[in-house]
Amino acid sequence: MITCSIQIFIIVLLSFGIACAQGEKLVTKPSIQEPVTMDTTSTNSIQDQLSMIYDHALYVGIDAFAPIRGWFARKNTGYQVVSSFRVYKKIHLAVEIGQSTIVYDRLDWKATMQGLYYKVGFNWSLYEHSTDPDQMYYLGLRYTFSPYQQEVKAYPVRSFGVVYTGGGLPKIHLIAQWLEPVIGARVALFNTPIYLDASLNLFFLITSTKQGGMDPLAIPGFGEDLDKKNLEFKWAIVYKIPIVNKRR
Amino acid sequence: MNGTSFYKCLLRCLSLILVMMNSSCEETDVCDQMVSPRLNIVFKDVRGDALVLDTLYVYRDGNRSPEVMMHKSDSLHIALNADKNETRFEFRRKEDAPLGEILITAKNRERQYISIACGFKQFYKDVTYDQYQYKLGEIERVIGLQSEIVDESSPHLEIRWQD
Repeated sequence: MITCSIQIFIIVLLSFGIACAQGEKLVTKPSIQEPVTMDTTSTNSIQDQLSMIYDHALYVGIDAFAPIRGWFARKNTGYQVVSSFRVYKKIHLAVEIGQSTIVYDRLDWKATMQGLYYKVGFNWSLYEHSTDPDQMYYLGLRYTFSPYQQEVKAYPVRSFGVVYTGGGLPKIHLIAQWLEPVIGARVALFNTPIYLDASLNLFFLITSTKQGGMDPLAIPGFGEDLDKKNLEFKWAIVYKIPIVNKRR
Repeated sequence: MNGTSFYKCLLRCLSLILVMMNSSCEETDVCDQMVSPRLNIVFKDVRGDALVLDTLYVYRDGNRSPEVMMHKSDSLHIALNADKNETRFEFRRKEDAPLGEILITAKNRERQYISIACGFKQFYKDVTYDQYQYKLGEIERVIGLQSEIVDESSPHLEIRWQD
């Protein structure tokens, strides 16, 4: 599943590259050093294009991959709302909120984890499309905080060659925090204010409270604990809401 | 940024992904630690010297098929029940000749978390050993050496056999 996600992600990233490169060939870059002999219409056009570089807009959307993943897996369901806002030339503030329910049924454990997770961080654009800087490749970082509820319904007690199932443990509230380096791309869909934002998020668990010294089996938003590291492929559909139009 | 630098940027991104991937995805599904300790039984003769038994069959809780078929050994490690306090072992030198039973009762059982892959291991405390002999003259005596079974490093039970 993880390998498949990475392959899809790389294909999407390459597709973005081809789309952006083709877009660049079609649009002639505006040059501010050209003599001022143009008519008013063309001057306005150049100014409009330049002003786009400093457009401030709020991008709000949902992770479209989360319900698809839940539909297929049926053991990790939830949703995620994403938003970002350009605070400086190449810096975008990102805030994301999600909910997840994980049914853990592996290695003779039976447990359910349910809760919200809150992410805050930034994206730094590595490359922006010359006429539409909202289309970009970016690197980012997120800090995530997840208060969640865990209920262990059965746990394994291992003896030699035999596994006994222990009874359940009481339902408990736990907290986890992790950091997410992000690499992604955002591209406009059909010249509309709707964008496809694909990213690969790597999770590094910082701390997590424990029930009776037990490592977390799974954490909402983080997934099943894989040696305190995990990764996620996110495919968000975002809508651009212009807020400030700051001209040069 | 022109097309060449764009693709350079893209290549850098992909390289970064590969580096980050390399440090992720280490699944921890294999239990490689000690699980619940087994009962460590040593065999001795009436004088207390180590005794190597040619053959020994051990049956658990009245099962018809033997749990252990031991050949030429002076000790035995065997797991106790983890889901109940009592474990009953029946001993036979020949398959069709029951000699006696030993009932091991742990009044207290404690569980300790090991890892996600291993789950919990169980310790047995306040352990008693009761002997029920069918055929006199084979098992001479049963001596409980420890009342706690928390590891396998030293024997918990000694069985003395008639010569």
